[in-house]
Amino acid sequence: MLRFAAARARQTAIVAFVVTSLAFVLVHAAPGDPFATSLDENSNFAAARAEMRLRYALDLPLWQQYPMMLANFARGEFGTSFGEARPVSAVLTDVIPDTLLLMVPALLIGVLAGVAVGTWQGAHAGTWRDRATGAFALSVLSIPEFLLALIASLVFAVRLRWFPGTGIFSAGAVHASWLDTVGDYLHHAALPVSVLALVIGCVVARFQRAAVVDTLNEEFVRTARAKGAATRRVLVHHVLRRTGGSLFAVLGLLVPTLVGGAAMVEMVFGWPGAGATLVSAVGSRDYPLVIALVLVGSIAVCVGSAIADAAAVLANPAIRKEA
Amino acid sequence: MKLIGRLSVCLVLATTAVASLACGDVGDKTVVISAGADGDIALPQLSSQTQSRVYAELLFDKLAEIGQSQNTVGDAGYVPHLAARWDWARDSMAITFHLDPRAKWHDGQALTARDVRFAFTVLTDPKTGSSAGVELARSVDSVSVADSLTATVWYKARSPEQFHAVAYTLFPLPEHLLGNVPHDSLKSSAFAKAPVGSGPFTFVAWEQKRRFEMAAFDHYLLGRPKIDRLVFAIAGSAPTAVRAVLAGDADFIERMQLEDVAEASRLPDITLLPLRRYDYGVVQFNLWTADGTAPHPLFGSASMRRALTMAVDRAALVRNVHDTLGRPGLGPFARLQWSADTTLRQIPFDVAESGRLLDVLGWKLGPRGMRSKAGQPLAFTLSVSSSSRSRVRYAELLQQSFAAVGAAVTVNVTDMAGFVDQLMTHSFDAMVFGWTATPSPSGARQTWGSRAFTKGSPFNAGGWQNATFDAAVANALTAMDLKNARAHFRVAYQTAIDDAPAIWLYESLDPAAASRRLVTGEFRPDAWWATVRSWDVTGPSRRPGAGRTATP
Repeated sequence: MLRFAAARARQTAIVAFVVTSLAFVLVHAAPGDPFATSLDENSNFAAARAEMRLRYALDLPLWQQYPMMLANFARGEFGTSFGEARPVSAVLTDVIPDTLLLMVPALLIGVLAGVAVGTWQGAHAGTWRDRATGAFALSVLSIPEFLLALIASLVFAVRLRWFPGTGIFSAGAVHASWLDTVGDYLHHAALPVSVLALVIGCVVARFQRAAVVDTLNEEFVRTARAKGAATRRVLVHHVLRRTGGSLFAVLGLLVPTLVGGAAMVEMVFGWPGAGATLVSAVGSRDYPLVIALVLVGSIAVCVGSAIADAAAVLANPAIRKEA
Repeated sequence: MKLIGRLSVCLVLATTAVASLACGDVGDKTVVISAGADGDIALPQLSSQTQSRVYAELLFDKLAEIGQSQNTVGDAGYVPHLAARWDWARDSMAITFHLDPRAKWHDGQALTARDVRFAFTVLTDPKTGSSAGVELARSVDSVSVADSLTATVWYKARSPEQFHAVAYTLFPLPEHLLGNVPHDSLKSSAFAKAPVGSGPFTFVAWEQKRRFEMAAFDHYLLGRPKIDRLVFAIAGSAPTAVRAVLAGDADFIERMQLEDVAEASRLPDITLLPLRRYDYGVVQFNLWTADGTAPHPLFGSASMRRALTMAVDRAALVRNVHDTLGRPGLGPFARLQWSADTTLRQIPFDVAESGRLLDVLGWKLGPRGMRSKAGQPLAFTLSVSSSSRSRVRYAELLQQSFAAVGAAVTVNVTDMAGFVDQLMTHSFDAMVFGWTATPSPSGARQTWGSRAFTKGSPFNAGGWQNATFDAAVANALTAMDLKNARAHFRVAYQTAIDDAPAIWLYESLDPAAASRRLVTGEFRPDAWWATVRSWDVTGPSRRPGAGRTATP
């Protein structure tokens, strides 16, 4: 296990280095100046821009900026956000928990629902109900996440007014107790979490259904049935246990999609998380913030994949033996 | 499976129950304003960001405030605020402001004439980095203090807008709190993000990119605002900010996206509010090559610019994009400015005459309906920022208009940062963009004057240089008589229209949207937030279940 962790840590470091370097090159290659839209309207633009570039060491050639950035990262310094005029680390401290407040419940609900639906589909494979559910899942997956989010927002927030359409909490709300705070969060999270969970659930359900159909044809399942085990017992005790490994592998693959999808959902619902902040930072050419968020995102993807792989190994005795 | 199903149902029910029982309590006298973007600091005249200006001008007050007439000549258009009254020197070279003794800072300290002088010193110090301060220093020599309630502003020269120059720009700053802060670090000081002001609202909290909260100042000298709390909810983008109002999450947004106006008008609890605006949109031609050393091969010619202007039916374009929420532009000004003249001679929409002019210039029609000259096609790029869907639509329609006279146009849609880069480096052929003018027409010198054309500046980015225009504007700004000033402006504007450095495309009348519980009254065209202190809230809260009375 330690060897596994060490190997994945090395892999994460390499991926983070490559992704950060790519982000550095791309963000600097994009046309536009980080200070162009924030400079005072009547001031001497050229002088003001030169002063800002000097302040943030952007006057140096890229080959000098790059090692400086890496050295700063090694010390845990991400610099100052141009747009927010405060340390990038402070911005990260604000936005990452909010993204987790969106992603974690979406992942839990999506996986639970996907496993349940996929297992049910597998058990009823070939029936019209299975085909209808499969068609629905495919339809959902064929719609881009931002469009799904937009539809949900327009229908359930704007037209029906069942849920708020933006933010994590009611702006200006005075929460009398923690129950108020939790309730306000749940109310606001309902739509974005549902959209994200729906997408995750559909992906998981498709994989789970295929895994269950395969497993139901295996000899040990037929034996269990021959011994008179009830269908529910067969599914829960034999099939789900076997399919757990492949499910975790799917989750590992899902992590990058989840990070990207969350960004779109955050944008549509005005959820002030890391994804929306990244999109906004790219638009304003906030170099330090973009690079830091890309770094954090790549580490999150690597760690998420590693955890999923580890869980897959632990869940499947056959793989565990090979490992 | 049934167990999972039951658990899921229970979870959903429990979530819904908790959410519906314990919604955020926003209170009846809290107003939530939806904004697409946040500001950077909340100090007056020290940031170019519009949202920063909104925060600062709600937290800080001026000596006198411009009224609905928007008259910037003399002091007739101004009403007393921090200054209860003012006297002019006989030669008009000084104005003495007598402060209202009730004026207080939010920390309870009395606001004195020393704070007026301190603000002038800070603002005009180049280290502070305030462009408004630089402008102020051009007309004002100094500020002296006679006693705690009397400050005299000494001018360098008389001008019709000398009162406006001070009253509109100078916000007293608390010397007792900022006296020891170096001017060059004022913008980055803690005070800039949590200021103590003198305006109708006091600072409460600021979570950047999320919310900015203020509370009514009980001791505001012109009377406590009717609403208790004012919260700006930052949505992150303009479309999301609009949706916040449509969904009932917020009470007000100052500008609706045109495509959402129909949806808003269908909602019974939302009302659309007309706003007079200083916004005007143009197609700016670049008269120079990107390196600025030679005239642009197409737009260096005034005849070419006039020919292309004739190809555009501006009234039809405005109807198509803005419907009734816009009107064709008239020149380098907004109709609301006192210098505006709606009788100016315009370049007419005339496709046949446009074609004839292009023929004369040697651009001959080819077999496919496109023009060329010496083997060079009549082609150029029209740049537009993706941040404005209406301007992108204008660009597409302009492409069709120009194609009708044989010009091949490529529409180049870029994000805001890329667009501004083109603007500031002057690396474009033509671009569609918008200006927001001010009540004072003096901005024309800044926006279209010859001296504004400098590398790295977005002003007069097309490099139009016309001595007649410059002289007429200069004469207008120094004429002490309003009629005379108007006549000079008329000459300047007609020169710009005839020489066509731009196509004066539209003036927008984009409406605001508000919850029907909000009573807003009339908006001031230059600053919609100026009247927030007189807003009130009536009726039930925005969202059922969220409106129990709160104790802020």
